[in-house]
Amino acid sequence: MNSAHPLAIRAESLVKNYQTDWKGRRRRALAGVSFGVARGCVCGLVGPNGSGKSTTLKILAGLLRPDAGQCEIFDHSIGQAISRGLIGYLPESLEMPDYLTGEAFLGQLAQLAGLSAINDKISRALALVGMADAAKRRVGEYSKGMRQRLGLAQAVLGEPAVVLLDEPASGLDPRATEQLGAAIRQLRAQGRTVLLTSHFLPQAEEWCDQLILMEGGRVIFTGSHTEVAVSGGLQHLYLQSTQL
Amino acid sequence: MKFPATRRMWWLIQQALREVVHLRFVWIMGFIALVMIAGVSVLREFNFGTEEGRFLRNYVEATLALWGTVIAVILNVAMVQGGVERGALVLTLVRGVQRHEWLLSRWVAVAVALAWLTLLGYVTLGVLLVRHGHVAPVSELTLAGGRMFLRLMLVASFALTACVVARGFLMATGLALGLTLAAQLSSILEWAGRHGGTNTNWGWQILSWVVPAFHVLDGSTKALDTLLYASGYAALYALLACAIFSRREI
Repeated sequence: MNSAHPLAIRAESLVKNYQTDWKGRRRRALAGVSFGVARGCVCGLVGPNGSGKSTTLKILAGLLRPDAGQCEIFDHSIGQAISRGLIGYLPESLEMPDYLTGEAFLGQLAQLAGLSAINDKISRALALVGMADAAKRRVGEYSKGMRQRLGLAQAVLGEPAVVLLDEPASGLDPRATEQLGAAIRQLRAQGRTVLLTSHFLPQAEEWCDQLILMEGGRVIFTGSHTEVAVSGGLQHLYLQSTQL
Repeated sequence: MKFPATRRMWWLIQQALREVVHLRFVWIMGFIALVMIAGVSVLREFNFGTEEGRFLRNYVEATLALWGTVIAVILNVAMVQGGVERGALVLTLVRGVQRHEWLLSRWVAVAVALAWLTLLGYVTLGVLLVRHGHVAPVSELTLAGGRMFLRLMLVASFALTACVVARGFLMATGLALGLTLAAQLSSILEWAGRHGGTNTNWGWQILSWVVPAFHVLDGSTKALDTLLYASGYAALYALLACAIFSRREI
């Protein structure tokens, strides 16, 4: 990765269909999604349920293969080992083993990823999400908010250049949401690129420098925080653009 | 620093074994041992005369076959489908683990668990036979234990395939038990293949090729042939599961 790349993430004409039954019927999840995310920026993918946000993130994380189109992380195609090393990913639903401590859980994943200086990286990831004090406690004793922050810690563990967060604020109370917001701001301050999905529009508007509005598997609006404000705010754009 | 594939596989197997233990497998083994001991105590209340040793052995082996089948299916469903649902799979995939490595590590962990269970069953059987004054031939019990393990491994391989084909716990469990039942009724399938009409004949014939015959494991076939037959089918089912899983949407 070098500063010559203005775009950290580039998606071009992504198409994805899911098979819905054994007869081979298919449902279109993405119908030609294209966008770019600037390096070091926090970008929000917003849109109603079924608009294709999570599918887009899964493709970028290398978990799904698109039927057509391509995407790159710092000019490396998705699926290459080098691009995998650049990505951290928090899935929408994640249950962590209750019997492990937060530190041991991160230690396992760090080992699997083949990271060096594991203890330092774990300490930094836990400090970033404000969980340093709870490192030695079992995951089973964590609240929902703490689990979500531990999920974020595993996503940033290898200090990836790009962090993909699927509904990171889902089910969190206001205090936990604020702590999550602080962690995301810190990631931006460190120069990482964050792409997150959210249903909670005020939060997305507050956290993100760039916003992408999706509906029916298509991008229907993309713009900077300022452009969104000029257009009347995200809520206004969302209601105006999406078919309710 | 790259994590070499062999070390990564070993690491995945270790984690899967930890998960087996945390699924209360040791408690379940203890429960099955108690069922065996209690059942033998009840059976001894009846007068089987000189056939008592054979009755006790049949009872313990039937208990092991039944509970082993249930455990092989449930462990696979909990570890494979549960792992996908909980997001455990996703966390490993984004760190460069291949889907087939993740799936095979679970299959190996279940195999180790079933080996423990078989060992426990046959050690319990040997101790019970000796304690009640019967002969417990070590070589014969070892061979019988090996055949039981192969049988349970076949069930585990059916369950692995069922878990990647079917969506949902119930469907996967049903499919795995259906395949096990077909394997159990293999001699009937072969008979139907020989005596059906021309069209049905082919259907039964294909089914009897696809599903291994459990009656091959009953001790009438040579030990090496049995080993090759069962391990070949188990490996085929595991490879099929890997092939399907590598293309499945998650």
